[in-house]
Order: sequence, then C-alpha cells, then structure tokens
Amino acid sequence: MLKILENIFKNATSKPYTSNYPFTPYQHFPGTRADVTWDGTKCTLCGLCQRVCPAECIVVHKEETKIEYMNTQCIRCGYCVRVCPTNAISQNEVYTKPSREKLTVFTLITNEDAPIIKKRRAEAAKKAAEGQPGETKKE
Amino acid sequence: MESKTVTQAELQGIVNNLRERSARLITIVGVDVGENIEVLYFFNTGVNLTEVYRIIVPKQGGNEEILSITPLIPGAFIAENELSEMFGIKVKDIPGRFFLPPNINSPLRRPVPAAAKEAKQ
Amino acid sequence: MRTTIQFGPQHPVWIEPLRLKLIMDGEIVKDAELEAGYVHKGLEKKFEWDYNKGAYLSERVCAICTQHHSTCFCLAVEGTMNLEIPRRAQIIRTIMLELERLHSHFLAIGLTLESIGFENLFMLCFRNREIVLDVFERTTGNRILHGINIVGGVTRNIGPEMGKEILDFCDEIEKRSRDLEKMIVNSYTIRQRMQGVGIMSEKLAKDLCVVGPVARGSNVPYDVRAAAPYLMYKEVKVTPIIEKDGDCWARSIVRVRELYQSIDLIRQLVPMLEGTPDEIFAKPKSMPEGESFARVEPPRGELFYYVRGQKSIKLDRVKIRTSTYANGPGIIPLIKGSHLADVGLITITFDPCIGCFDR
Repeated sequence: MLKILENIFKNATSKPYTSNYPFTPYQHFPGTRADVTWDGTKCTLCGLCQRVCPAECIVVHKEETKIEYMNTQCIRCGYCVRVCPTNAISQNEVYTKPSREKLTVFTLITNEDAPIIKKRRAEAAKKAAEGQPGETKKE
Repeated sequence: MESKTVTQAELQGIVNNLRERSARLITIVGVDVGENIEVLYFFNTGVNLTEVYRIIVPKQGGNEEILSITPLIPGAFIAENELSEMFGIKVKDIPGRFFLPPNINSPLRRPVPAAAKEAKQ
Repeated sequence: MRTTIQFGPQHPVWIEPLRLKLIMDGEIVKDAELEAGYVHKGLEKKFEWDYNKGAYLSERVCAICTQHHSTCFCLAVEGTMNLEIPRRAQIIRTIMLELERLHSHFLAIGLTLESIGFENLFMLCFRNREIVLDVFERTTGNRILHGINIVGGVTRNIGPEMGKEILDFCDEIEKRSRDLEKMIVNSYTIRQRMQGVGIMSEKLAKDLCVVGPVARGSNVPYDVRAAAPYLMYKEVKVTPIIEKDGDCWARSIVRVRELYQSIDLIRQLVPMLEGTPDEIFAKPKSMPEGESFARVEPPRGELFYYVRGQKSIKLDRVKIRTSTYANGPGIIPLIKGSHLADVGLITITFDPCIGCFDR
C-alpha cells in the first residue's frame, strides 16, 4: 500500500515526459545525415558520384553542365560524399518534409577549372580569334 | 575454406556418424557453376571447428533427383525445401513449394554455357 | 465437429504478415499449417552486383538487426580477399553490435507484454529504448539504418568525449533496467499467465537445430560468441545464459538477463579505445576470389552468410540464412494441443522477424 502512494506522489509532482510535438519541433543532434547538396564552384563533372550511387538517383549532364538529383529516391547513405575527389558534395541536417509529389533538384556548375568548361572557352576564344582576320579578308 | 567432395551414398554414412557425435547442422547451400550444380552441407562439430561436405549434381535439363537427410536430422526439412524450389532439383519425399507463386519456376538456375554444350556434343 | 480458423496474414499481434491455418475442436487446436512468402523480394538474386554497394543492401534485409547483417557480409567478403582490418575499427564494430542487442531486447520484452494485455509496461520499455536510439544518432548520424560499415573498416570514429558520454549512458540505463526487472519478476499475474505455456523439450530443440534465446531457454547452451568467437570476442569472454524449463517464462527471462551482460561488455570495451592508433579503414588490394562464410550472433539467434567471388567486382553467389528461418518450423509442434488464446503469445516469444524469414 505504501509503495503505491509513493509512486502516485512522484508521478503527480514531476513534469510530463513527452514533448508537445507539432508546436515544438524535434531537435536533431549535430552530425545527423540528411539531404545532399552540390557546391557549384568546386565540381569538375567527373561522373564518379553517378557510378557509385546504390539507388541510381544522380545523373550528370555534361553538355549542359548540370547535375540532376532525385531527392525522393535518395537513401541518404553518404557514399557519394566519401568518394568525391574535390569535396564538392556535403550533407546538411534538414530533412525534406513528406509530400505526394516527387522532387528533383538541378544544380548549375560554374567552376572555371572543370575540364569541359575550359575546353569550350578555349574553342570559343580560338573561333573569335579566327573570325576577325576572316572578316577583314572578306572586306 | 576447406571442403570434402563425396558421393551421395557416402554422405548418408557421414551424417549418421555426425549425429552420434552430437554435431549440429547449420544449413544447406546450392550453387550453380555452369555445367553442374553443387550442394554444400555445413556442420558445427565443436569450439571453432566446422566441417563442409560437397556433392556434385550434373545438369540434365530439369529432372535431377537427390536423396534427403531429413529422416536423420529433422531440422533439414526447410533448407531442402528451399533448395528444390530455387534450383529445380527434386529431393525425395519433400514437397517443393513454399515462397514462390505458382507461375515462377527455379529462378536461380542459369542456362548452360554454349562452349560446354558443344564439347558434350 | 471441427472448425477451421484462419490466423490470417494481418493480425494485431504480429507486425509482419504470416498465415497460420488452425483446425480446432472446441477451444483446443488439433492441427496447424504454416504459410509464408508475403514479403518475398528475391534479394539473393540482386546481390550479384558491385560488392561495395552490397554492404548498403544487406543492411536493409531487417530493420532491427541491421548492424549484424552488414557486419556479417563485410566479414565474409573480407575473408575471400584475405584482408585484415585495423584494431580500432574492430572495437568500434563490437561496441555498435552490443548497443544493438540492448535496443532489440527492449523491443522484444515490450511486445511480449503487450500481447498478454499489459500495455502500460510496453510503453515503459519503449521509453527506455528511445535513449539507446539517441546514442545511435549521436555516434553514427541515423537512428535505425546506420550505414557506417563498409568492406575494409568503418567510416566514423568515436573520440574521447563520445566515450565518456557512452559510459554515462551505461549507468543511466542500468538503473532503469533494474526497475523494469523488479516489476516483471515480482509480479504474480505475469508469472501465472506465462509459466507452463508452450513447453519445448530439450530433445526437440536439439533435433530441430533451433538457435538463439529459444534454444537457451530449453537447456541447450549454444551461443556463437562462445562457440566460434569473431572480432573482439576473442579477448572479452562471454558465457551463455541458460534456463531449464523451456516455456514462455524461461525465454523472456533469458532476454532480461542478457541486458545486464551487454551493459557489462560495453563497460569493458570503451576503455580499450585509448592508446590504439587512429586508423579506421584498410584499402582492399585484390578482387574477391573463391568462397568463404561468416557467422555472427544477432539478438534473435545465429546468422550465416556464404559468399562466392569470381575475380571481378561483381559477386557470384550470396546465401543468407537468418535466425527466424531456423526457428520457424518449431512453432507447429508447440501450438498443437494448446488453447486458442495462447497461439499469439507462443509465436511472439519466439521473436519472429518475417522480413528476415522471407528475404
């Protein structure tokens, strides 16, 4: 009988164990692994992340210098973060909310040292240099 | 990993011997190696000791039959059931269907490679 | 007159679908038939791809024993390549395996108590389990599907501050486990409900080759950590915990006592991290070739992986044999001759995981 009274007193005077969920959001610990993002100024468009992804959710478009990432198919394993040679990929700590539509994210690459962008600028510069003597010749 | 290759008749004697020494069966594995199908039996006999026995079943187009060890060790029933369902080998007195629906047959079996077929002919 | 009752694929007592066809005479069960395959995904065929990606696929076979599945796969593939992993990676893997045993046993005890109707203690067990999942989130980044095991080592390190937090966590959870044990062992109603129900004799356990707490509750002392030690269990000895009766009460008491054994092992392992060199990954130098197998001890029983390589980056054949697969045929002899109200209780004390059973 005494044990029950002691339990009742302890439970009535302490604060509740659960938190007020929709009004106080859930606090994740630092170091959680959530969505994946690319840094446009470091990527060199090598294509390693596409070869290594187990869920096949990354597509690298080399002609348009864009990277397509299918957010709803990604399993947040972190293999692409480990394998990227220039550390252009990182994982943040904010999860995407659940919804009914599929989400795809495109990232534009603007890195000057990427081999493809360097080649195109060199060709464009060569064409501009050839075009000028050609025009004076025509005249 | 070391293993011993035996025939089907010798295997019954070996299993009887192991049962008297109070060994226990871990599982039965089937592997498709092109021309034959190999069946491996794993036993645990003591601290840090395991024994592996292998029998070779040549492929004959779907009607091979091997002897069962379920009368000696009743725990082998479910492993032999899966072996016969996935590879198409018939084991004596064991019904062969547990996981798959009726329209799928022996999914883990591979076609015989062409070089081996020509050598046979 | 005989009636047939279908203990159907969906039932509030189980989490996953499994079908039992019961033939009854009044209130006693005369005959039973087992049918499975509702979640069969054909994973053994999908494993014949890149062996690095296979570590992420093997985690997702079962959500409650994930670390054990990925550790066993990595041990089997490292056996075909003859690769030695560094000592710090071995200690981190063993600490994660023991933490997983804690959270799985809290879940199993809670579900057993819910099936006899005691919902309040089920909520208390899950409240203790939340603390264990918080420790997982602080060390690996995720609560359930961790993803830190790869062929060659681990990807995340445990530093000295994290080690001290784990030792504080051990003290807190030992205090809560003592409270829980007192409530279960000193209770008159729970004992009367579970003693003498679903008895498995020692001869039947040895014939059917059952594993895990089901075998240890029937006086068969089989534990892979003692019979074939792997990783750090060669230095930290484990003795199997056995009970003699073989009924539902004995199997649950084995799980309660294994909680204390796991807390003791974590307290011995964390001080071993100081002084070891800081490497956690060894690069593989050759392709997987030949065949090899590995065995570990998850909370439910014995797990066995067989891997065969063909000298390229794709594997040739992978075979998984889980613990519910070995215990499944043991349900039918126990159900025959019992009351209808006991069928759910007997099945839950086996701790079935149908995702592991079907693959």
